[in-house]
Amino acid sequence: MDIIALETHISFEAIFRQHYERLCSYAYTFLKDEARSEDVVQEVFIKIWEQRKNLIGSNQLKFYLFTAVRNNCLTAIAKNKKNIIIELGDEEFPDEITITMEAASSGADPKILLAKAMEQLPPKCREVFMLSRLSGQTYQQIADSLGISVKTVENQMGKAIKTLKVFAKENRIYLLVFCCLACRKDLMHSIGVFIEKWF
Amino acid sequence: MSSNSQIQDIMLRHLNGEATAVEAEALLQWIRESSANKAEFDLVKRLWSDTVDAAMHNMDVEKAWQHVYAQTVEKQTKIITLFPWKKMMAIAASVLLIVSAYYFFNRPVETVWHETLASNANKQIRLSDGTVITLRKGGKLLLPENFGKSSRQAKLEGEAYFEIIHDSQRPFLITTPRCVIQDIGTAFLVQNSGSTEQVTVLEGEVSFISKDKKGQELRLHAGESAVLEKEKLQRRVVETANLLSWKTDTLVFSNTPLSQVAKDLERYYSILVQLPDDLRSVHITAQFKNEPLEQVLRELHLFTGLEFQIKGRSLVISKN
Repeated sequence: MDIIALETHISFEAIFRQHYERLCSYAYTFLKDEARSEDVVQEVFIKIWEQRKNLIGSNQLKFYLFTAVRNNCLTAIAKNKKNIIIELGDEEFPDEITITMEAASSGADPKILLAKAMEQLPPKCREVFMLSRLSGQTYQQIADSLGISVKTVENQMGKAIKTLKVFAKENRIYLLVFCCLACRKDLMHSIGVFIEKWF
Repeated sequence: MSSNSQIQDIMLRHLNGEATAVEAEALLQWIRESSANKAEFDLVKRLWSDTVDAAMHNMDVEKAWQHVYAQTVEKQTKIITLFPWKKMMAIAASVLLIVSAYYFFNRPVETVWHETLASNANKQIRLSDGTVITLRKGGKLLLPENFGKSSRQAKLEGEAYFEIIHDSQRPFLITTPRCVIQDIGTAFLVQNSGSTEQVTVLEGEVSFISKDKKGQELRLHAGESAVLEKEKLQRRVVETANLLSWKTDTLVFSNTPLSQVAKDLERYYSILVQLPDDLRSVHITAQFKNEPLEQVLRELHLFTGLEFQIKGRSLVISKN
C-alpha cells in the first residue's frame, strides 16, 4: 500500500470512529430502528470510500455525511411505503407546544425524559434541532443541508428549546436531582449526629 | 415578550459559537441583570448539552468498523494485489516473461531499509530530494532503499530535526513506534522516548497521527507542538528558543526564567536539575556556544550569585 493510501486509510478510520455514533443517532430520528440506522450509515461510508475519496480530509466532509445520511434515510422510508415520508415544508406549527409525560415517569433519568420530550417535538422542529445537536454544524450549514432558510432554522431552534425549557420546569427534571442530593446530604448529616452521640 | 425570544436566540447562537461580539456582550449584560436571568441561561445551557447525550444511541463502533473495513480498505488492498495475476492469466504465454517481469517490478515487495545510527555524535543526512535530517546522538533512522522513487518515507527512533523540501505529489511520511507524521511543507522536530512522542513544528505545517485504533490526528503549524502520551494526543506549549540546542550547540537565554533554563540544561547536557520553587522566577540573559557544563555553571553563578553543584547525574541549584 503506498503512502497516500495509508494516510487515507488512517484518516478514514479516524473519521468513521469520530462520527459513527452521531450519524446513527441522526438516522434513528428518521428510521426509529437502530439496525436500519446502522445499515444506512455504513452504506454512506462505503460509498465515500468507493466514489468520493477526495472528501476524506476535506472540511466539507461532515456536511456531506449528515446530508447523505438524511437523504438515504428518506429514500429508505420512501421505498418502505408503510412509513410516511417526513416532508419539510415551510408551514408554521402552532407557537405553543406542550409535551405531556406520564406522572409515573417523573423521577427517572433526566436524559431519558429529555429523549422522550424531543420525540414529541413537531417533525420539522425536531429535525432541525436533532441535526443541530448531533452534527454541531452552523445554522447556515443546517439550512443548506435541509434546503430551508437560516431564519427558519433559527425559529425552529428557538421553538425547540422553549418547549424543552417549559417541559424541564414542569417536570422538574433537574430540580429532582438536586432534591435527591439534598435529602441524602440531610440523611448523612443525621447519621453523623447519631453516630457522634452514641459512640 | 419579543425581547425574551430575542435573548433566547442570542443564547442559542452563543452556544453554537455563532454570536457576534456585540451579541455576546448584550447576553452578558442580561445575565448580570438578575439571578432569574442567570438561572434561565444555566437551564438553556444545560439543555443544550444534555440534549446531545439524550439523542445519542450507543453503537458497537468496533463491530461496525470491522464491517466497513472489510468492504473498503481491505477489499481495495486485495484488488491491487490480485489484479495483475488476473491480467497475467488472460495474456498469451509468449509474453509471459515480460508480464511476469512487469509484475515482479510492480508487486508490493518487502521494502529494504537502510539503517543510520548516530551512536557517538549527531549525524546529518542529506537526501536526494534536498531534504536534510539531523539525527540526534543516540537516534536511529531507517530509509527505504528506493527512497523518493514513488514515495518519501522514513522511520525514526529517538530524536531528529527534519528540514523537508515540500513536494505535494510525494508527501514526506515519517513513522515512529506509535505515530505517523506527514509534512505539509516544513521544518520540524520529532522526539520519541520510551513512553512519549513529541512533534514540534518550526516552519510550515505537519499532520501528526497516532497509529492506534483511535487514529487521532492533529494539524500542527509553525510554533506549535503536540505530545502523544498514554495514548492521548494533545497540543502542548513549548519554548522553542533552545529546542535545537543539541543541533546548534548554542544555548540562548534572553530574560529567561530559571525554570526554563533548567529544562534547557537538562535537555542539552542530559542531566537532572533540582531547582527549589522560590528560585524558579529568577531571570537570566546569557549565551553559550559549545561550552562544557562546568564553564556554563561558573558563568551562571557569576550572573546570579546562586550555587550550582554537580552531584552525580544531578545539578543542584541553591542559594548561598
